[in-house]
Amino acid sequence: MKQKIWKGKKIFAILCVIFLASSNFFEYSQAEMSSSNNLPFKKIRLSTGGGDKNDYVEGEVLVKYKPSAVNLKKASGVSKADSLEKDKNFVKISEFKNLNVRLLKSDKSTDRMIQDLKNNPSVDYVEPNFKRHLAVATNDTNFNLQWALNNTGQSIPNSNGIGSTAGTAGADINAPAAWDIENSSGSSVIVAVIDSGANYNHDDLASNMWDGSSCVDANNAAIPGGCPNHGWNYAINYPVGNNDPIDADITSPGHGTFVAGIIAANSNNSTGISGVSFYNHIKIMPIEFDFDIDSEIEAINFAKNNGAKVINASFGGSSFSQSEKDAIDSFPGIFVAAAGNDGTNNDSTPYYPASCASSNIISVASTDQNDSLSSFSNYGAASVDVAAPGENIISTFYDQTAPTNTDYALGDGTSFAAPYVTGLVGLLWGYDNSLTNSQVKSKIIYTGDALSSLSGNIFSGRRINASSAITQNTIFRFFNTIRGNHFYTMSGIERDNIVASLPDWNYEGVSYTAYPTQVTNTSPIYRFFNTRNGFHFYTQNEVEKNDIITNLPIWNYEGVSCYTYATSQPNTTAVYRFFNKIQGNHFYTTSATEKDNIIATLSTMWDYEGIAWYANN
Amino acid sequence: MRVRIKSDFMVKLKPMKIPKIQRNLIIGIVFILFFISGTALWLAAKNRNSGKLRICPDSWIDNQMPTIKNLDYKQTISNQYFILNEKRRELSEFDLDWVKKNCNVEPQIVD
Repeated sequence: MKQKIWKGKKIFAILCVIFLASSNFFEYSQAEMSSSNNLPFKKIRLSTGGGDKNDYVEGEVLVKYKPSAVNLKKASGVSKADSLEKDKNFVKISEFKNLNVRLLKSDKSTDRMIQDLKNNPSVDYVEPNFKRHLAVATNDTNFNLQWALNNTGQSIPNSNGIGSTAGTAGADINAPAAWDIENSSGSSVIVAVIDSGANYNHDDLASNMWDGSSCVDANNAAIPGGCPNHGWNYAINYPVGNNDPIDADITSPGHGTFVAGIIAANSNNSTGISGVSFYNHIKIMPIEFDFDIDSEIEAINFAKNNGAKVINASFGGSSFSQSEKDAIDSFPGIFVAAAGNDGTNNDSTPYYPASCASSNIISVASTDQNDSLSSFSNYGAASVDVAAPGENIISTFYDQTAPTNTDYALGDGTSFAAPYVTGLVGLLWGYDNSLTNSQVKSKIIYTGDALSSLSGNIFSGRRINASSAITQNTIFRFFNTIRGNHFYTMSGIERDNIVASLPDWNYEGVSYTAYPTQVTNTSPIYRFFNTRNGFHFYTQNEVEKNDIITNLPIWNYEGVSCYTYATSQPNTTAVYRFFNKIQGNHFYTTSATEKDNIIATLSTMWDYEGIAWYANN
Repeated sequence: MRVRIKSDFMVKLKPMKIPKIQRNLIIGIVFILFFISGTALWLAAKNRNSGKLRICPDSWIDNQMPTIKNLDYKQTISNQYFILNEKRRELSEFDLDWVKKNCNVEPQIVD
């Protein structure tokens, strides 16, 4: 009997082992499965290639004369040089007698100037007037952590304090190249940060705060004593508020100070970080509000009445408010809004105010250090305009528990992507305050770097590029519904006038981007107007241009429209040209699909004339 | 012949003595079948109870972006969620205890 019990126990023990082994096997299988699903997901950035296309001053050369032939220290040498330069239609800009070198200017291209001089027996050498870039973009002590402005592939500590993340060189807004073009003589641009307030005493913000000494309230009534703290606070004592927007909000502590630092921390002051403008043209107007529609409207009105040209809105919600939209529509400048951090599609699940259908809104998604769309970022092929860096961002901070004026922090979110766009708006208006809203918005949306990670996810498929935005303009395309011809213009004023007052013209959007001034390898596009039928014609062909001017008086030459590439370059796209055999007008498109459709289906009317020029991709 | 046949039949009807080894084998097989089916039932019951994913998400997002609070604001979407294969997945879809125990993922605060 005992033996039987023992045998039974043995069998039971064996079965238990089988059972446990089988259950462990299942657990192990699941762990294996989950592990394979937890592999890090990395995207490779789409190379934008290129480099600096404007590396020397077009139309200028430095020439060194052989002292034995032309000695600039002697009157006879100066006379010889003057004569030689006059023959070539060159103009002397400056002279370095100790080097026997002159800087010459001409209407000719730099290449042509070099060709004209290099074989002259009196010339020792001739070279372009190369540009030199700032060896260190700024002297701010933490600039190396600002990958968003200048990504060299450096590792940035993660905002959660665990580990660090390496980036991809060039996956940034290319601020240093824009700073080479920005200049100190630009105008100040007031940027309203409607948020939790901002620490206006922060060492890296204090000198870039809006003055506010003479200000009015949301109803345009003068405020006695002005706004000594550079903004206003509608979170307290609503609707009057008070004059202290110090970032005392308890629900989002330090949020507004962080946003303000991204936009306009004092650049090149040997402290902390840089703002988006190297020459500190952006002035911050912090407006603390209560994160409700009532106080938001007061804040928008305050910004409008006190001269703000841009509003940053790093907040949102899922409910649509008509009064919020009306207030945004009434704001004469640009309203930059964070797209949201729900990881959802704003086309199907709108996020306001970013999703408001207001023409002056720019809705901003977030990218990481490797130019991928941030996993948390909202997106929307129709409703999110553009992306900007929004992960592992360093900025000024206000710690309510132990306030100092020297705090910095790292943060993630579209709240911190939007301020890069806001800063770029400020940079553009600081550089050229004649730009219209539509021009600035188009520049920001269409001149960014096209990324595979954004294609189909956001409207433009692009991450902003400050250098491209400051150097390139967009070409707007119109269609005349009565005559059936197209019109193209780079002028934002012309675009706005046509939209406002010429109902026969349908605005078809941005056709491509081009340069308003000549840069390396570009040539002018000449614009003509037919006084008989009202058509416009564009050509880059010098012979064609001269022929029309000489032989076709019904065409008025209207000057240079813009500058594009005559030959294919990195990151350029072909512009195809068609001629309408029946009407006599021309049509230009960058769309290969449109080109193919016309060739396939409208060949009885349109002749394909080939590639007209190459525009920026 | 018939009788003999009957006799043979009767002999076959007599209680048969099964060898001990064979008997233990049968008992063992019965127990194995019992435990395998029991294990299967136990695992099925365990999964049915949770009904949740036991997969490590790529990241865990805690959205703290300031939100507009009036307008009879309805919290239609949770502040915390997972990202799995580039898509938002709700925490409620996952066996959270299992994720916390088995996955190297911490909430990433975003503003």
